[in-house]
Amino acid sequence: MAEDSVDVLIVGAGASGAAIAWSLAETRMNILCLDQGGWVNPSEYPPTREDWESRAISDFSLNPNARRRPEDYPVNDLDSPISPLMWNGVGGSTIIWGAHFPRFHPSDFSVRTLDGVADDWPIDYAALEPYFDLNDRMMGVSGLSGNPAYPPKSVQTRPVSLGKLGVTIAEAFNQLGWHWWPADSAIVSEDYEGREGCVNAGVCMFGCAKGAKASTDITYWPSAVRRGVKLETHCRVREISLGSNGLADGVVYVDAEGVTRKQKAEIVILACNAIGTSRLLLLSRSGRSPNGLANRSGLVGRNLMFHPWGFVTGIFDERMDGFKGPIACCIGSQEFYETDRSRGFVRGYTLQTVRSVAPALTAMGAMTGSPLPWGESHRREFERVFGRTVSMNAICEDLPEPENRVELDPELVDGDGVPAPRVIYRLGENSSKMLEHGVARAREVMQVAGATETIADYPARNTGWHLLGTARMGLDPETSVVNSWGRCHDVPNLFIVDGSVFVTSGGVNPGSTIQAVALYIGDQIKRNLGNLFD
Amino acid sequence: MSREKDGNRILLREVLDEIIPPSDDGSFLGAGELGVGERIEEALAERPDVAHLIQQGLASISDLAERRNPTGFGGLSKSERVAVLCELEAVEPAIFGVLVMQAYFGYYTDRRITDRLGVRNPPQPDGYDLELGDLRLLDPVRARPKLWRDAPARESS
Repeated sequence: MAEDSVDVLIVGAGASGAAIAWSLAETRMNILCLDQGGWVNPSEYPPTREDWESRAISDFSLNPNARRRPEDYPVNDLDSPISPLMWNGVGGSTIIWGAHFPRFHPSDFSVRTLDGVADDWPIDYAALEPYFDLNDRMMGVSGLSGNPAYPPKSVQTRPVSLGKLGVTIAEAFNQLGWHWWPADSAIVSEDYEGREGCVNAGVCMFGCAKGAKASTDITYWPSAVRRGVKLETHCRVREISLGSNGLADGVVYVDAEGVTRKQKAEIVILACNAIGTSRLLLLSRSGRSPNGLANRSGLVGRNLMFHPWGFVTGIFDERMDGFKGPIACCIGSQEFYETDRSRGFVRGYTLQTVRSVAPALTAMGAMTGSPLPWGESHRREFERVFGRTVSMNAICEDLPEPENRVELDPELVDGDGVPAPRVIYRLGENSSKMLEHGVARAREVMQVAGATETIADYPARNTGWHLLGTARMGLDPETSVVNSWGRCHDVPNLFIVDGSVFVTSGGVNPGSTIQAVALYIGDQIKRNLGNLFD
Repeated sequence: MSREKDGNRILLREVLDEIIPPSDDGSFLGAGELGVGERIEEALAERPDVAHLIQQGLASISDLAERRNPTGFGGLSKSERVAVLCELEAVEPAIFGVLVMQAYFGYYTDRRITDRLGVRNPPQPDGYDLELGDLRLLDPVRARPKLWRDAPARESS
């Protein structure tokens, strides 16, 4: 690796890092991205092998603490009821996501003005709309136009198949008179841009070898690399270095051979998710920034938001065959999305219909909470459950609370001896009430749909996919870490483009909005290149 | 092959047949009879930590069984075998949990079982046919007024 200075250095090749790399590529600047993991060859994804389900608890676990690949870093989550989930490598967590791809709503950017809680974002839906559209085209989104829960928008392919399971739940929503709509999914249901349409294998969260599910290793990265962006893998950045002029002058990283190196850069962009980015800023302490880089506000690592998930499973007499079809993408309801104070809380949630799993994970209790009994009753219980469950998530908006935070763990370290993050998180009162409400409504749907039994788990522990808020946007340097276009108030050539910058969490999966924000920031950087360091 | 290894293999097969017994009508073999023990052995060749736990579990089962009958687990009645496993589950839940997990993954990823269950294994590249569903079900939803709230515009937009 040449250690000459590059124009732009991006840390992290996941959802947001890929999007901004692609966006900036047209400038012909010298752009380098470093990622701590590597490429995964889709032909090596678990679902191409018979033992694929067992890899869900080993090298393809969603939880880095269980996966323990060399590129993973441990996360101390003992002080949190929700465990952070992520993938470290090219594509980031899009490798193992369910690809549910709703956008934030217009109201999500104005929660202070509309509902008197948290803060408004310094940008709004209108500013992001062209980037939502662009990102949808790049990722490939299936769905259906005309959803009354959203401003008008288009999709690339027809909705993913509902199957008997989806139709059953849709009929229940209709009976209740509640909103529902086919999911916006970053899964192409028909051939699109050289990718084959979804074949309903139900394996999205183990890597899609068909390429129907969008992950940025097959969407943004091939184009970004063709346009000249360099991507170096197995390079773990451990510090952002600061020059005497107060600007970031590059990063210190450990390469694949374990050698510590310095990479100089004119602009540094962090795209490591809300845990990785805040960890890196906190690691980058110096005499000038004793509490971590870009942390004059003291908010780096603060306001960590997950989405508390209420997970309800209904067991039906009839076969629903939920192991067929994209597991996280079917239909959803936003009947309870916008604020109605009579419910006892503000803001709201999405009810997301989730399909089911294959036999081994069924036996292990993936949808029912605990492993099925062994012995004489095992077959009877397996027969009662397998292919007969439907689940529903209440994905609740999590309001920012400074006490929910990422710190550096005083003892735990990664494979290179670098301090690991520690997560401290409690559910707030509003989130708790919302979660109760969502679980009750999900049970109601299941009962109307004909479930003979419902099982609820909330807050569900292994649901920390959505990592948000630890370096929030804002106009005031005293109360925010970055400005409205991701530039650190304290370090003008340091940008953050991942979910860290979110001011609030919305009540939907954030992937679409994370990428739209990254593309928006990319355009702002391009527009301001002439006076970036003024 | 050592006598001890042979003995452990037989014991593992017997234990697996108690964890997932054959179906009453004989259409599904038990996990031991199906050969899950051999699959576990292969899979654990690269996981010595888990293999060690399995060995520990088998050793405990032998001890508990011999306390009831010197001929060991194989000489026990069905109800005594179950009692031994329940005892292990109570005193060594983590180790017993590993045994059950290995049994479930080994059994339910076996092609003979997944075929019987109508599950394609591996699921890719072929996947499944699945009907889109009748989107006319959306007619009452389409008839509703907009649900999203307008929000004040920012200066930047």
